[in-house]
Amino acid sequence: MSLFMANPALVTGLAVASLLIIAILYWIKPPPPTVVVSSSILWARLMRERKRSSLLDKLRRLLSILIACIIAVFIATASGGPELISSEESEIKDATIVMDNSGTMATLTRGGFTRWEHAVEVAREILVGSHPSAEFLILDTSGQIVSRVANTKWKALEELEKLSISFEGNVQYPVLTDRDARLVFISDGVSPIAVPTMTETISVFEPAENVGITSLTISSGLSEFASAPRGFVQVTNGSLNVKEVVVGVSGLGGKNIRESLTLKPDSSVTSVIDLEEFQDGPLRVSVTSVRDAFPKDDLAYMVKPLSSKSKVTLVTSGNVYLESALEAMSNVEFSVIETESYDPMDLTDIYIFDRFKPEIPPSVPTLEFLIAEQFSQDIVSVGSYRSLGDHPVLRGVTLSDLRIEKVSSPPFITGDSEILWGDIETPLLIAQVLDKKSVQVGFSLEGSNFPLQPAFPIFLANTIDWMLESDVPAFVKQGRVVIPTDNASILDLDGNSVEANVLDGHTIFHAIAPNLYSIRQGSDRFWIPANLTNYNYTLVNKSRLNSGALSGMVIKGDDGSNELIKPNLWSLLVSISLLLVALEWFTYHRRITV
Amino acid sequence: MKFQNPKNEHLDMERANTLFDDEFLKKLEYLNLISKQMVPGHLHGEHRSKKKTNSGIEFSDYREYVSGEDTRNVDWRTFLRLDKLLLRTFEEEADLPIYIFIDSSASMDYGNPSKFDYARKIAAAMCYVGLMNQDRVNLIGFNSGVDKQLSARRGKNQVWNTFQFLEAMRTRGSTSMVRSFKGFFSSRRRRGLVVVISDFLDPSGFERAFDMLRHYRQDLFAVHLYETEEREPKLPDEVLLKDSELGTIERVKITPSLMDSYRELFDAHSKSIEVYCKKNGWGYINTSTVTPFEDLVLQVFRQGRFLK
Repeated sequence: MSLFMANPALVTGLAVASLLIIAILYWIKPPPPTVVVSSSILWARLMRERKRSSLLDKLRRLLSILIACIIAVFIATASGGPELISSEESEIKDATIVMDNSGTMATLTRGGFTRWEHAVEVAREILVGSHPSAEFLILDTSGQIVSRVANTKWKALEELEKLSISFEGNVQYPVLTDRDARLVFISDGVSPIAVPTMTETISVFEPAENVGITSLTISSGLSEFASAPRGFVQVTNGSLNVKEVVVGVSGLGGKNIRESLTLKPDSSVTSVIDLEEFQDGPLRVSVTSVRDAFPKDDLAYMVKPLSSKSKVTLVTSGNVYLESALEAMSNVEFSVIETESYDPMDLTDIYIFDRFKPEIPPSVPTLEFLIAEQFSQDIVSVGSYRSLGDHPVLRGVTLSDLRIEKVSSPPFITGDSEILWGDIETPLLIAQVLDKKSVQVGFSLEGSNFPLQPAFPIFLANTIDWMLESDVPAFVKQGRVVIPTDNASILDLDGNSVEANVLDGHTIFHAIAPNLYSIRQGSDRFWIPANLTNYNYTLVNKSRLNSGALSGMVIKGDDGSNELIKPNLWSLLVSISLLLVALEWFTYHRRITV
Repeated sequence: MKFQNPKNEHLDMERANTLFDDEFLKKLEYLNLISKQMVPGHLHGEHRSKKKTNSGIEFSDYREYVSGEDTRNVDWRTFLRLDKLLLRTFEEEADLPIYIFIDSSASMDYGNPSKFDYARKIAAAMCYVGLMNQDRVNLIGFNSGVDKQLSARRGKNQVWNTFQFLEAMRTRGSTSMVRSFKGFFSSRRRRGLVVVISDFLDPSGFERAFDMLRHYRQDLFAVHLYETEEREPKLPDEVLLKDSELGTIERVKITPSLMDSYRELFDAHSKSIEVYCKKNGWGYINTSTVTPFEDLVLQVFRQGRFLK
């Protein structure tokens, strides 16, 4: 056992300075006042007797100086952050501790604590048991700690307490500074994090049972030609056992839906929910299973869209393919007008121009089939098309059998346009968002086999869906959410106001999953669900690490955690100093000291 | 304001200072009246002496004739009846000498009112009553020796002289009762009542001085004066105490226990004087200057030593 001092030179200097000050103060103490008495005979006799009898009187001044010196030395020592250390503690030196605070760390273990709590406990034990002079750098995989400055273990403990689990998904091993220190990574090994070599990984993984919602989407019904929107709930069993799961859907208007499923380990089942019975608005989807260790993915929210029909106006001189395809769409109110009858002021949701270019373009989204006069040298095969691959207008559309005889002249293309290129250097399909959404088809329907393709009505439905799609996202992930409305007020599921900022006409807030946010701007109101639908979270057992690390580990909890922290010697010294000050005060007033 | 002295002279009070003002003189008159009520029939100025003489007015006793004595004093009538030579003895009639010693050392000039002023008032009161009783009053101011004295005075007309003497007294020097008594009683003095008004803060102690009085067979009445603050001094934690007589400086660190010890020592000092006096059948009175002096004088009278 030895006494460690963070800065012994400073402490020594402080102590010496304090002692000097005390000595000087005693030395320059003003002389006592002179009082004339009638006779000092009795006083002299008394003092002679006292000098013979009292040793304490002789020591009073020394005692006073001694108490003052002890107080000064103790306070000076306390200011140096002293610690009593044992020999084994001195072996633990500097370290960088990386905490995995990805979402799966919220998984409960058999002891009732989360993997994160175990990880924090492990880190705390490392810190507390380390040498007092050791410096620690605490980092995390979600980037909550930005600083790369190493601190004392007590500061490191404070930083550790500030960390929390992040569900934002963007986890990665932090960029490390070039530091000669032990490198410790505490993780459950589930998140796909590339760990550098020479890293000592401490596992807090323990197998757990979990069934969660890994996908939740809603269909407007346009694409599928259905009469009502439907919800698609994908439930995944991340457990190591077969699980009996109950999927429940509840919302306004409809009867609550409960569906029982049996899921094998690592398997998913998609359940289709008919939302016709439910009123427009938010719906709550839940999965229930026994001993679920990760409740965060057991709830999800979706919003049933407004069930009104979209008004589409086709301006054409006659196109049987378009008219037939549009007529087949149940959720579309379809009308055909001649090119001469075109009036940009007409009320419609979408214009489809067939080989017609209006002088005054409308203010609503447009689908334009351009006039194809340029004959290609050969028939164009679109077997190897590129770009526009993930655009919503081509979702589910297969163009491998598309053959084109005539293409149009290249139209005006802006920088933000997304273009489908075929085998020639002429754009086949352009989707762009300027002041409005527009899709331009660069080949003739008559000069191609596109109208005969099964993908043609899907393309039309996709295009109409995309054009009518709200700017407000249907679902958001956890983290930063941008809404294209200015100064909106946001409430969470519990009715609490959510702090939001306004930037460039957008409202920005931080979403916490699972939650359903109510956005209100003026009289308009809409909902945004934030769900934790992610395979990486639900599959809580996909760990690269073994599960033996947690055996025998005891979490102290809120009450017990402080027991790990040794009593601070500095506080003890300060307490003794305060007691001595009180003693000095008492003895002074009792005239024991001077 | 006029004061009528025993000689019926009008005394201009402007000549006297505030020590013996009109108020004081009224108090003296009062004290005189009270003293007469306290000891009726004994205030005629004539005090019987224990000494027996062969001549006188008041017959005392017979004694046998001793060869060589003057035969004129033999009572021949008794010889004829008894056939024995007997001499008639008479009580000597003598006035009582009162020696009032006033401590005029520097230590008496302490307090407000000072111990010295208080002592002078007591002395003035005693003089007044003594002179009114036809006693022979001596006033002696002493410090390290006899400083000033007013030899024996008798009669009411001496009151003003004694007051003047007291007025003129000043404090100075240290205290030595031994030297003072030795200096005074070394010349032949009649036995009488010695009144010592002092704080008895004598570096050489009081015992030797009192022993000397006993040697001279004097009767003593000790009036021990002290200032309240002398017994209960208000001193800071650490103090340099300067002796007003000797000029010596004593460094003292005041503690509650030290203060207790000091008070005990102060009381023990007073007690030792009182014990000594009682042992010798002498009178002793201990008072602080806050006590009204007339109360003190009455207390002296009640002890029955001053008035006989």
